[in-house]
Amino acid sequence: MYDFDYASPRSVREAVSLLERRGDDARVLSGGTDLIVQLREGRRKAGLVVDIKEIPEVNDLSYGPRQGLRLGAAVPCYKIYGNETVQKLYPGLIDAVSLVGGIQIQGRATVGGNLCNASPAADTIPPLIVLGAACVIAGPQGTRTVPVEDFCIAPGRTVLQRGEFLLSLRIPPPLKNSGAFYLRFIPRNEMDIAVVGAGASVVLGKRRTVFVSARVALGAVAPTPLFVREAGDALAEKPVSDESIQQAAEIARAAARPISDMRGTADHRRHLVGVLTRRALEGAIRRAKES
Amino acid sequence: MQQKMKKVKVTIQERGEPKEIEIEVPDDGQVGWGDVTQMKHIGQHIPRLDGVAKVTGKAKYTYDINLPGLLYGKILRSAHPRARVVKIDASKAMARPGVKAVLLPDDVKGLFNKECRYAGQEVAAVAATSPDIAEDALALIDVQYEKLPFVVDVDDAMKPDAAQVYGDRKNVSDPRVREQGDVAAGFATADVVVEATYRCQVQTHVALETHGTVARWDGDKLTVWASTQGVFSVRDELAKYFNLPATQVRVITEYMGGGFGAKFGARPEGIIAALLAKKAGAPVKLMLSRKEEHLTTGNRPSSIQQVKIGAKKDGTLVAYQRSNYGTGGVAGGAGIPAGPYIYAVPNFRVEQRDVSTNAGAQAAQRAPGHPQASFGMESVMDELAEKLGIDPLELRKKNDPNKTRQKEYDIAAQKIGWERRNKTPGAGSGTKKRGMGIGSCTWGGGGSGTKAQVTINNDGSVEVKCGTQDIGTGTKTIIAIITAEEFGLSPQDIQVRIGDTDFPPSGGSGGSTTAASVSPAIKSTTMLAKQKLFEVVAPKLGAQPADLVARDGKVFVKSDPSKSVAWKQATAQLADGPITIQGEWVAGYSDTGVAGTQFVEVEVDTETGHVQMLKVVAVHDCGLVIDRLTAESQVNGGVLMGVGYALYEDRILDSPTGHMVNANLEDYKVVGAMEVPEIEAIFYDEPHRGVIGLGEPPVIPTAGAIANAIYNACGARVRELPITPDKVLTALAQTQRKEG
Ligand SMILES: Cc1cc2nc3c(=O)[nH]c(=O)nc-3n(C[C@H](O)[C@H](O)[C@H](O)COP(=O)(O)OP(=O)(O)OC[C@H]3O[C@@H](n4cnc5c(N)ncnc54)[C@H](O)[C@@H]3O)c2cc1C
Repeated sequence: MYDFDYASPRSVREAVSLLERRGDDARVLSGGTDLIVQLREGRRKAGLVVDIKEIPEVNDLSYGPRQGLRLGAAVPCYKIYGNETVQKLYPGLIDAVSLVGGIQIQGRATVGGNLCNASPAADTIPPLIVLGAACVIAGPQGTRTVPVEDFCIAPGRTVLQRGEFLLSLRIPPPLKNSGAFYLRFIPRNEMDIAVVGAGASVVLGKRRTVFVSARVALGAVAPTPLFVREAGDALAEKPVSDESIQQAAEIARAAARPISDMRGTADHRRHLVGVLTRRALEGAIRRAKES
Repeated sequence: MQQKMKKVKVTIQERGEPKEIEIEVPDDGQVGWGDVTQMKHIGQHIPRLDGVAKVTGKAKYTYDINLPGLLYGKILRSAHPRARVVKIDASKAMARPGVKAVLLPDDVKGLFNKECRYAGQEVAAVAATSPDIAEDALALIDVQYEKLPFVVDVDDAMKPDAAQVYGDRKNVSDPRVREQGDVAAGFATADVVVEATYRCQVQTHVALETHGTVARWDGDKLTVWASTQGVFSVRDELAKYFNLPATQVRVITEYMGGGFGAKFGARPEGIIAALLAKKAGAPVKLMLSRKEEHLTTGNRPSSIQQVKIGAKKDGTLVAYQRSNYGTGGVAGGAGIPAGPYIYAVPNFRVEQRDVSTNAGAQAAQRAPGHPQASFGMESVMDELAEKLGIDPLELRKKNDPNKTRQKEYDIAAQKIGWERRNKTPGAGSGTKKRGMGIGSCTWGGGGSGTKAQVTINNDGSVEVKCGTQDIGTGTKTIIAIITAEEFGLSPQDIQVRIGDTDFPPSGGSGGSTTAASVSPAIKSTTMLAKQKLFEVVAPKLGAQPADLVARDGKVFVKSDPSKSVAWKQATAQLADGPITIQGEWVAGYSDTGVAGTQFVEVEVDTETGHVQMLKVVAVHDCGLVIDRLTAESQVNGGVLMGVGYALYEDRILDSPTGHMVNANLEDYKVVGAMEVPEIEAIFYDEPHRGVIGLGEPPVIPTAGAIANAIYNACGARVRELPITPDKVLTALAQTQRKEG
C-alpha cells in the first residue's frame, strides 16, 4: 500500500472544497471496507483520502412521519439494523444491511459506501431502489437530489461530479399496506458476493387482495443494479396470486442481462432471477399483509 | 506379592553429561497403557494448554517474530505460465533506498529457474527495510520474458497437440497398473454393471498461517524461525544447502498455524530468506502472501476417474476397473490408492496417469489421494446400490471386510437415524428436500522415531523437551497429559517445550504420525524418570520402588496409601540434583491402521441448487484417545475441510491466460462459520491398541457422503466436485428430463 494524504473535514463545505481542489486524486472514505481493500490491492489510487465521518450530516439517522427516513451516508450497517424505527418501518432495508459481509464488516460498512462503490452486486442498492430512495448529493453548487436507480452509471461509476459527495439518503415513509423484501443468492451462507440479488416492494389494496403498485430491482445481472420497472408495473391492479407473481418474475428474468463468470453462469443467474424475484415478491406481500 | 521386574537401558544426565545406565522397571508381561478406566487425564476432554495464549495473541508465530534490524524479503515470480527469462535487470531495484539485497537467477545456483513453467515460479528476490519498499523493488526489476506455449487445463493437456510442459516428455505419463484376479472374467459373472466418470478439482491447502521464515545469521550460525511441520527437516535441508554442520543450524517453531502437508523442508522461500539475510548482513523475514500460497506452495491434485463396477444380484462385488488421470501441475504424484478403495473385490484393474500442466506443483495434502478415491468409490457404490435396489448401507456392509468399520456403520446409522432417510431419492413435495449419504475411509497413521527428555526438579517442577512441533493439532497438550498421568500431576503443572532442533529429535508432523510417535516416547521417558524418583523415595517410605504409586499429587505405597508423601516432598529428596532422563519411542504403545465412516444429512433447495449441510455423524477409531477434545477438533476440522472440498473450493486457472483467477479467500471459497453443520464426532475406542493418528482420516469420507446425500435428497447425481449450485440444477434438470 502506498502513502497518501488524509483529511478529516468537519463540515460539508470543507469537504466539498477539498474534493473540488483535488478532483480525481481524492477519494471519500466512509467505512473503508471497499476503499482500503482497493487501495491496498492497487485497484484504486488516491493521493488524498477524505474521511467524511466527522461531518454531522452524514451521521444522521432520523425519521419523521412526513419526510420519512433520513439516512446519513456514513451510518454503518449495525447502527441501521440496531434502530427500532428502521426495524419496524423498513424491514426490506434491514434484510440487506444485516447480510453485508459479516459482523465485523457491518461494524464499519455503510449504505452510502455501498452505493458509491457502485458494484453491480451491491446488496443495499436493490432495496433502496424498491423503497423509492433518493440520494442527496452535496457539491460546489449546493445540494441536488437523484433517485437511487439513476445514481450508478457503470461498474464502479456514479453520477457524482468533481467536488461532489453523497451526503445522505432519503427514503419516503412507508405507505399503508405496503411491504418490501430483499434476498440474494450466494454459494455459501455469508461472506460471498451476490450471484444474484432481488428486491421487491408492494403496495396492496385495502383488502390486500390486489396490488396497487410494485417495484422490482435486481443485483449482479447487469453492469449496474437494475430497476425493472416493467415487472412492478405489470402487477398494478392485478390480484395477489401465484400467477401474477410468476408473471412479474418472468418479466424480471427477461430483463436481466447477466454474464458468465467464475461466480456463476449466465444461465444459472437468469434462472435465479426468476426464483428470487418470486421469493422477494412473496416476502414483500407477507410483510404488507402483516403491516 | 513379589513383582516381576525387567531391566531396561536409559540415558541419564549426570553432572551435565549423558550416561547410559540400566535400571529395573516393573514387568507386567506386556507393554501398554494399562487400565484406561483408572486414568485421570488420558481420554478426558482437556482444553489445549496454549489456547489462551493463542486467542489473546500472546503466542508468537513465525509471522510475529521481530528482531532488531529486521528486513523484509519478497519474491519476484514468473508473470507467465510458460516463459524463458531472457534478460533481467535489477539496477533500478538495487538503487531504491531501503533495498538491502537482491538475488537474481545467476547469483545462486539451482534455486531460481530461468525456464518458468507456471505463473508464480520464483525468478528473483529482494530484501528491504519495509514490506512496501520490498514490493516496490520487485516492480523495479525489469524482466524480459520470451513467452512460450502453455497449457493449464487438464483435458487440454491430454490432447495430442497440446503444448508440452516439459520438452523431453509427454504431458501424460505412462500408466501405472495394478491388477488382481481376472477383471474380464469377473464382469462376465456380474448381474449388474455401473459405469461412470467422476471428477475432482484441484484444492489448495489454505493453512491460516502462510508459509514463511525468519532467518538470522550470527557469523556461521544460522537460526531460523519457520512455519513448518518438521523443524528437523528444515534444519537438515538448510545445513546441506549452506554446507554447514547440523550443529550450526537451529530451527524454531513454537507455534504454527497449520500446514496440511505442504510445509516440510526449508522450501525455496526458506532458503531464499537465509540467502537474503546472508547477503544483506541482517535478519530477514519472508512470509508469503495468500496469493503466493495458492499459486506455489502445493495443492491436492485433480482426479478424473473412469470407473466400471460389477456385482451379483445380491450385491456381492465381482469386478472393478478404474482409469485415473490427475494433474499435480508441474509435478507428478497425482495417484490415488490403487484398488477399489476400502471394498473387497476379487477382480480389479486400476490404471493411473499423471498429467503435467503449467501450474504450481502439488504437495501432500491431508490424506493424499484418499478423498479423491473415496469420492469416486462411494459415489459408484451408491449408483450400484440404486441399480441393484439394495439399501446403500447394506451394500457397503456386504462388501466391506473391515471389522471396525462394520461396527462404525451401525453406530453412525443409529446416531443419524438412517431409517429416516428418503427411501426414494428426490421423493417428497416442496422445494427444499433432505437426504442422507455415506462415505468411508481408511488410513495408516502409526509412529516411530521420537526422543524426549524429562526433567524432575527438586522443587517438584517438571519439564519435558521434545523436538516435535505442534502444527495446531494439540501435540503440546497431549505431552502434558501423558506426563501428568504418569506423575500423578495436572497437565498445567507440566512445562512442555517443543518446536526446537536443540531438543531431542522427532520426525515431521505428517501422515498422522505425530501422536503415535510422540506419545510412546513421552510415556517411556516419564516412566523411567518416575522409576528413578521412586528409587530415591522408596527407602523413606519403607517400601520397594515397585510398590509405589504416583497419583493425585502424591507418591504413596500401593498396599498402604497412608504411607505417602506429597509430590514436592518426594522431589525435595533428590539430593543429587534433578532427574534428567532421555528416552525414546518404544513399541507397544502405538499402532497403525484406522477405519472411519461419516453419515451426513443435507438439505437441497431444488429451485436454486443451494446445498445446506445439516448434520455429520463422524465415527472414527484412533486406538487410545489421549485428549478427547483435541481429537474431536481433528474430526471437526477434517469434516469442514471435506465440506469445502465437496461444495466450494476450486482452484480456477484461466485457460487463455494461464493465471489463477481466484487466488484469494474471496473467490477461493473455504467454509466459514455459517457453513458449519452439526458435527457429532464419535470415537470407536480401542485403547488396547495404543495411540494411532487421526489428523488425516476425517477429511476423507465427507465429499463422497455429501454427494450421496444430495442424490438421496433430490435425485440429482453430481459426479464432479465441487458440487456447486449450478451443477445441482443441471443434474436435476437431467433427471427430470429422463423422467418426463
Ligand atoms: C469481507 C467483506 C465482505 C463484504 N461483503 C459484502 C456483501 O455481502 N455485500 C455487499 O454489498 N458488499 C460487501 N462488501 C463490500 C463493502 O463492505 C460494502 O460495499 C460497504 O457497504 C462499503 O461501505 P464503506 O462505508 O466501507 O465504503 P468505503 O470503502 O468507505 O467506500 C466505498 C467507495 O465509495 C466511495 N464513497 C464512500 N462514501 C462516499 C460518499 N459519501 N460520497 C462519495 N463517495 C463515497 C469511496 O471513495 C469508495 O470508492 C464486503 C467487503 C468485505 C471486505
